[in-house]
Amino acid sequence: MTDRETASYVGRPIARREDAALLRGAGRFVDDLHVDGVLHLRFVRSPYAHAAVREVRTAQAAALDGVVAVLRARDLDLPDLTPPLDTVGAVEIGRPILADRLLRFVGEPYATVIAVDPYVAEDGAELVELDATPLPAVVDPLDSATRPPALLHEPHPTNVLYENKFTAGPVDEAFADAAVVLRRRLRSPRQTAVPMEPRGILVEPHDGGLRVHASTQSPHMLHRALVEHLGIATDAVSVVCPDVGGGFGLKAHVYPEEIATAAVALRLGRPVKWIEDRADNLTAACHARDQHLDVRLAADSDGRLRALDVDVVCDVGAYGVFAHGHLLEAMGTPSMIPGPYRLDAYRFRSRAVATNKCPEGAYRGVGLPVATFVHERVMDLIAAATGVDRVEVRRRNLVAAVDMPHHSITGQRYDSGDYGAALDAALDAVDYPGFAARQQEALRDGRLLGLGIAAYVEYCAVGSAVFQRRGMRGLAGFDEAHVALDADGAATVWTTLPAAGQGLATTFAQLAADELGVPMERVTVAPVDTAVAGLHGNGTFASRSAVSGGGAIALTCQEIVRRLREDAADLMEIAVDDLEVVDGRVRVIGSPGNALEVGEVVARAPAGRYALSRRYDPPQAVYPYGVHACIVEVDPTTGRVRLDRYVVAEDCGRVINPLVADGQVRGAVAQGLAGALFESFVYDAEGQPQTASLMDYLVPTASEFVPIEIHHLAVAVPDSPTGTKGVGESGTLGPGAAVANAVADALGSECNTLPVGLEWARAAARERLGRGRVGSLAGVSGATT
Amino acid sequence: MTRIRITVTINGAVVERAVDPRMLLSDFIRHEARLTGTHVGCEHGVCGSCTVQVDGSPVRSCLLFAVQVDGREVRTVEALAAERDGALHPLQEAFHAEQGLQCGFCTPGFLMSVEPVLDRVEEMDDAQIRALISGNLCRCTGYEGIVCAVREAARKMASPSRSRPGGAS
Repeated sequence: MTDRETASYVGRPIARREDAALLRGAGRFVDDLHVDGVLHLRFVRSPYAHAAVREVRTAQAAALDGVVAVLRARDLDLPDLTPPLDTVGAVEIGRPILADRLLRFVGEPYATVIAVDPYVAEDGAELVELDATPLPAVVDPLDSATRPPALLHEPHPTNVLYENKFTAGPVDEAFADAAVVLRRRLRSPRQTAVPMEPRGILVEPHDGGLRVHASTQSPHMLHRALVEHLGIATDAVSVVCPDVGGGFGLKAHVYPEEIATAAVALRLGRPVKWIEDRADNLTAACHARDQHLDVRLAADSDGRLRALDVDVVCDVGAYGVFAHGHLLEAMGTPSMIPGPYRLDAYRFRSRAVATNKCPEGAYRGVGLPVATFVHERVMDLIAAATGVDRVEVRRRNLVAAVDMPHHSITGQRYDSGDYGAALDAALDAVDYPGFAARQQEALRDGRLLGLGIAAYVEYCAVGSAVFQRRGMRGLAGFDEAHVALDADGAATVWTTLPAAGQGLATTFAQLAADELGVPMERVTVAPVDTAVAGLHGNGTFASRSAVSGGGAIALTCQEIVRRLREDAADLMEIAVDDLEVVDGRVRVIGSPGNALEVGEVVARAPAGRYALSRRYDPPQAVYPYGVHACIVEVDPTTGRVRLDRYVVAEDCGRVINPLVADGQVRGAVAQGLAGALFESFVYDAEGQPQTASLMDYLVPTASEFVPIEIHHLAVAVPDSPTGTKGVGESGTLGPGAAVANAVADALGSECNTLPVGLEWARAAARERLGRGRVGSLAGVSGATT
Repeated sequence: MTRIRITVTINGAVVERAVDPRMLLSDFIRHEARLTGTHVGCEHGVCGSCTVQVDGSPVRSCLLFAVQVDGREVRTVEALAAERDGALHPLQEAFHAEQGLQCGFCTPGFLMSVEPVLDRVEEMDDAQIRALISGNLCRCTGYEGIVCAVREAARKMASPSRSRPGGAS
């Protein structure tokens, strides 16, 4: 491992290499790739939430000038895309590549039109006639779990696709004798990731094989799915990631549309491109976070949490996503509801319930923003019920630094950290002790200020052992790197982790340059290409690139350095232990003039000795953590919540590049705030989407945000080869909880539903001010203080 | 469909084509003129990724038909550096220095929206700059780097000798 004291590049705010091309408009996203003779594919999608297909008439579409083919499920004849699950309590649910007899959500593709240009393909899609009988739409997940109006996946006898019951510790005893027992219902909205570039794929067939460019986070997963689904040899397929315009989890999956496009290209023997439009992206890619929670808590009068009993219902939509399945949140949320707190008695029931909606998949943070919303509301509820200050309640329950590593009641192993230090840092930044006076003063002027706190802990960079334990057979869990040194001493790095804005071409080069002991400008990080060196790996999700990709790069580079020293020792007739690689030279320790250029050592070695691969499989997850604190003001005339301050104190371990890490935190916090205040994907009672454009699904603009203040802690991380924890997702965990707590503090009214509703906030604000005028000021101090 | 012959000047070069009346300007720029720096993010005029300039003013190229710009001058993101012999425009430099981009998909739209009004930015406070860029969506950055980049670029354009806040004036 690189000596961290002498690291040349890691830790420095090096401006990104990716930027110049992107700024010039010279980025190459999948729709920017031009291929002569390419055909354009359009999916024909279900207008019904639930319907039985009687007939699909394609003749008119097929006759349209410029339409090359109109294909249905029976034409493609492909097996379902079934996420492979061995999870106890879960059923494997197949998802048709194209729906045949049954339509299960608005937006589900049931036919495809291939044409010479995208306009004609769209014309053709409008000419496809669907004759179908509507079936009862299953829209409410609570109904779906208990008294479903229809079953989605017969013969499976229920719409509950996964159920897990867990009890540990003396739960009933705690509820029997605790001073405080409360029950609340919490609601997390259905959201979707909205990468600015929708999905897209370009498939070029050649000699029985396929060359694929895809906007994906998981190229190796896509590669395997194409091989298995289409029955082609693995070495006949290559998947290349061009520039990817954001992913956020939505592009971590393999979709039916991608398999269908490849199948069509193979069948027609011509290059085919599918570029998704925004309406399809909003309604038919994947959604997330749609949860109903019934939370019971028991606490002592001193504010100590005694027990939790939680019922989690995840509305997963019509299918699982490939290869993750339908239980990402139903498994993840309850496992992390204990959060950064000690908990000795915990019971939960968690269910993934099918409805006639877009399938749910991964979205940045996956189940953990909802888990954080639960445990942070719990802390404030305990404070309100006991009269113990909410900060003190948290201090009394946080896992102490001296108790690390801490095994949580759900079997998570929190590896390292100082949670109390993060709390201190965030509270200092917002001047917590001074806030009560500021709040009172504002209230005298009829202004409603509130402060909210959210502590979180997150698992990330999970390895194959964890995925196997979860029964998720289709996820690799490991990542690989291939590094080649040439006779000029330049290094090229390939990995299994594509970037979608994370700046990996820069940060991986920093890591590799330090590990190899060569100047960073001599290191190139190549685009991910599954044909290179037979690499296989997980792909970029679960905040794993720095840990898992960084780990694979470090292991590969360490072996290269070992070989450089060994070979140079022979060439120089000197002991290996007397050599080091620094600044592109293998030199004698203490006598730096006595050296060989790295390139010279490579040139004199047998071919292939300096092109090698290594795998890193994280033996266990690592756990970033932090505390968010925010101050908001609620406008009593509109109910609008205005952000005043937003502070993050977080620990992602060793920071490779502060510019990149802060960018990840800011972007993630912004997405968390979007879910706290604006975004909610809505279906009506018939299962029709009501938010199928960006005029209805409210992605916030710059005017909705304030600067996000970031403080980094860096407690040593023993379980990561690069000293890093993940940083891509953690920022999404705090905002929902912090905003809900701040709004509750401002209004003196519990905020248990996100996003914060304008009408609710307006009514609560008016009531608060009404009370403020008649009551004494002491009587209207923050509800939770 | 009867095609219509149009002549459009894009980044100083004359592009002549016969196009369907329904062809969007965004598609004309990307697929006829093969300038793919202009990106299409929503095709309904909300996200701003496809913003270009027509006769100097920012427009959503997904909300115009190509035939509507017959005889007019279109300027796209590719022009910014090309007009400077390949050197980045100060606005592009500022986006780089201030982390104003991550995935880079929305970036050309922000650049083309802001560039014509940079000379007005120096007088703007933070909220006004945020309002100025609120016609463009970015999902990666949380906008902070973009706000800083716009402010920095305006400062540099107004007084090239001044570089950073607090520097000599």
